[in-house]
Amino acid sequence: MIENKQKIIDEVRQKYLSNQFSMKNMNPSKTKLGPCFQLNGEWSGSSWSPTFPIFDDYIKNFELLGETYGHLSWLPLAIPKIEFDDIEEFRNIWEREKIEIRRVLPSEDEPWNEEDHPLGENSSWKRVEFAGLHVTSNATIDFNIHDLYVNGKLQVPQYSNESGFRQGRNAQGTFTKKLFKHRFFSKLIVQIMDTFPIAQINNIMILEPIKDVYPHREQTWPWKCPTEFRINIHDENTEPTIYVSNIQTGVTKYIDLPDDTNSFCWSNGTHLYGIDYHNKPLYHVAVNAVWNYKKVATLLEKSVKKYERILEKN
Amino acid sequence: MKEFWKKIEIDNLEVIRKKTLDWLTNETDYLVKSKWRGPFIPLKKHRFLDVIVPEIAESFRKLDLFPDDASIYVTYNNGDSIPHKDYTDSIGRINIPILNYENSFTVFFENLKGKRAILPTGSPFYMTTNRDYYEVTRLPFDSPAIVRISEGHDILMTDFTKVPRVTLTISTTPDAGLLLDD
Repeated sequence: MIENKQKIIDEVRQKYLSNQFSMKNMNPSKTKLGPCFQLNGEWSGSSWSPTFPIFDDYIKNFELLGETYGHLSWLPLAIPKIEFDDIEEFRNIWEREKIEIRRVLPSEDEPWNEEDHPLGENSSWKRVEFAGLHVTSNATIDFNIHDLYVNGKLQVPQYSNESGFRQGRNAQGTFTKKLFKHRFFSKLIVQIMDTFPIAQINNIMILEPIKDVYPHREQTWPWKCPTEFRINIHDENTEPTIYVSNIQTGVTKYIDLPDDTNSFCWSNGTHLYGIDYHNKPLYHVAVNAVWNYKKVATLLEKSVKKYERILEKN
Repeated sequence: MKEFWKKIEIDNLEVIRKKTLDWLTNETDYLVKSKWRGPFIPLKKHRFLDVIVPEIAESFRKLDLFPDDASIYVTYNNGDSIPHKDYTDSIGRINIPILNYENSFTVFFENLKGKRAILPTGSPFYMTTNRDYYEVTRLPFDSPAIVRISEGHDILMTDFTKVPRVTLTISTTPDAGLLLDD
């Protein structure tokens, strides 16, 4: 576990307090989570497509959900447990295909190069916290070169002739990313598409922490209601490792899942998150999507009702 | 052996065909020859899958597929389409014959090399840069099929093909190409 964790949490909180709910500071196409349909507070598509404003009613509906659910720190989801049919087959694929998620370009929020980053050895250039792999990405977003566009300008003209059933691609962007499509993951993808409140899928990524994950925010959605959706699809830890910290208050809570679900969510608008690493495997699925607010409302309502007792303890 | 295409059955095929054709004919000018600017026309801005023909998503659900995007491919003669790979991370798409598909084929090629170019419609594609590609198989296009669009392919119209020839092409999650044998 990282030393002085609460001190670090408090330092990171301070960084986010000034722009906590601003969508303009969200730049999802450059996050570790991969290319998205939302970029700097606008809708986007492929890297060559023009952007346009996020609809007012979409924002309003999520603000309304924030009024109802903004008090939650995290929430188990009323979704049946999602597991791999064959964990050994998964491990074989994982060990062969996973990549280290490493920064390879500066970004607006961290404009420093590897050499001049103020965090030195602890910067995102050098400190690799996750191994990862994307297992699907929306066909209308160009996964391969998306991050090579900066402010709509193509930085590195590149195309790939790589394709096929096992479509492994390493692409250079702000962070390394790799799309690996395989039939093994189809059942997982279908389960997610069926049960998560998705309007449009951006991508699905599997992550494995390989050291302590420093507290941070995702560059996805800053709503006050929980829309950061995850599945701990295989976790060999005997105690909770993922925590969320309230940006306003600093109160930190661990995500302690009940036995009947491994899906959960938290608000990326109101909370930071981090992971303690105990040298035990945790395979963690990040679902990155444009959310359907009606489906979100239904799922949150059902989940709050089902897990009322757990929420009381929180 | 690598499959380049596979015919499939989808529910409500006639409804999908009729609603698509009615909409294209009555609500758009995409089938007006004088307005033709290129064969590939994305339909996303029309909310085609959500609003115009929601039956597609219902039918695909039975195949464990969720449609991401739909486009049409419109040709009047063989010169309108050249051997190409689609510019996408998809391995395969589902193609549905809509109009004048009889007596036409989708032809697949090996060793096709390409570089990114932009169609007049604004859509990128891989333009062929070599000539030593060769045909490996052809799909008689008379029913819905999964097609491996990450490999070189083209439309072949015969003397008996009526025009415009119209195909609906749909990207999915999970990638429909995973249903083709590698």
